[in-house]
Amino acid sequence: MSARNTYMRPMAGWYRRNPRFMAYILREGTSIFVALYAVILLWGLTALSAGPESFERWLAFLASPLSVLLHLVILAAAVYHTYTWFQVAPKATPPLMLGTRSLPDSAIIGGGYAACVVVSLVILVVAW
Amino acid sequence: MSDARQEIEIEVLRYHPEQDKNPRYQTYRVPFAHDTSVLQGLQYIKDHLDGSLTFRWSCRMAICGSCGKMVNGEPKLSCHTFLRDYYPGKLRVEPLWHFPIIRDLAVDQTDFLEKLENIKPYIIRDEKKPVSEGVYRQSPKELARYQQFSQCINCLLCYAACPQYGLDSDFQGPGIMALLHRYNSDSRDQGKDQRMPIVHAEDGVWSCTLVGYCSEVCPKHVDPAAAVNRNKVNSTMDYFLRFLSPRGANS
Amino acid sequence: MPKRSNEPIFWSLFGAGGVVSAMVLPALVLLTGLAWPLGLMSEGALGYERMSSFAGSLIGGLALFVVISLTFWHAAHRIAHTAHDFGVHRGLGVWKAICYGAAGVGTLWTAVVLLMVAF
Repeated sequence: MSARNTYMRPMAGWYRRNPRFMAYILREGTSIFVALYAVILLWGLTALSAGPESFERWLAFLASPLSVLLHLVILAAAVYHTYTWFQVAPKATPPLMLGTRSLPDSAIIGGGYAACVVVSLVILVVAW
Repeated sequence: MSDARQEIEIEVLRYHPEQDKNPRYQTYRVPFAHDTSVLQGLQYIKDHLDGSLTFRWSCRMAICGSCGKMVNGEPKLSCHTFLRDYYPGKLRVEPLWHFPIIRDLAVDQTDFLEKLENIKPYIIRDEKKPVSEGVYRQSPKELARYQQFSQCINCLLCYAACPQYGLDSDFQGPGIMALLHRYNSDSRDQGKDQRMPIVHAEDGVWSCTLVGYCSEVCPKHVDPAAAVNRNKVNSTMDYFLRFLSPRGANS
Repeated sequence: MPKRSNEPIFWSLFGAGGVVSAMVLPALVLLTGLAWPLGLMSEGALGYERMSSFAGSLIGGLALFVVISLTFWHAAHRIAHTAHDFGVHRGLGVWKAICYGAAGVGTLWTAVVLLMVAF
């Protein structure tokens, strides 16, 4: 027996109904800036392959105020991506059983952040 | 009832299909004490203010899963949510999101129930173990693999929390996947092969984008997000490794 | 019997790209976006010679390829699914084709450019 004349509420604007949904949309939105940065890197590589003059032009772009501003936005997106990525990583991790308890989510999250800090330091030290 | 009793405003979604084309809201002033739940608030409305208000409830103690409602935009068990936490603000009570509204605060759960039947939520054996052979034995470690997922009370709060289910109700949804995982993870069960095709489908795990809100609202801490996403890993491994096994797609 | 989805391919790339970009991007963005333009690094730190030898090396080239390509696949998957979040349903196949296609083009381009730098 199914109900008659049921009312289905529309989904338009669903992400505005709860701050938790907005946080999710923000997280998904980081992908646009992350992709943009990959494009900037690819542009730099392309310029590199074309010779020193064209690479200088890419470096000049990096030095421009527009680039610095853009990078600030990208940095915020990249950091939010890193933060949210490791927050949800435990959900996709098969449980590592230690006796009857499994490795707690906080260990996976903390491990992820620690790895990120180590990798970041290595990059900064090597590149500087 | 003392005169000094506080009152809170509860705005309730109303929908009577025989007379309403669209839902509307009606506000009631409800007296409450420190331990008055939202459910008791609704019962007060029905008993003293408006007998036509329709809503589901049963156990009053967060175990039957009947009383799920949206309270100020969050899926909650109304017996497990207290008016004192919203006072002096207003309370807005609506039926669980993402389900068709039958009447007032009651939603049509048919879709969930059909999906539940499809995942075969029971122990499946290749051969039934006769009573004469005694009980199944299970170690604490084996129990720990699925116990959390067995706590599901089918309250549908996770479905109200899941925008993917709201956008496309073909999606199996968090609760179903948690229950499916519960049986696949039970050492007594031998029916995984029968359930995995549901997992591998587009409407199985692959419609989930790990919003994660489902696990946050679950009153029993089932963690359906983990059930779904661990099965993404399982499904992926099976996708790439299936041709190595002589049986073909096996898990 | 419901049809098996091919999502595992793209989800795996999305996952790998997510981990790589999560680990590596903040530091890289700091370098190219702030540390170098604000003059905090040495003169030739991002110079043509140093970058050429880095990108041309096996390890450097491989690292750059992995970071750039996987980031493209990660973003493509997420952007395609976000289109669905904003209501794209029947046209989703087209969105996916464009997003994954772009990631594919980006991957090829990166490989070609890195090979050009190396040889």
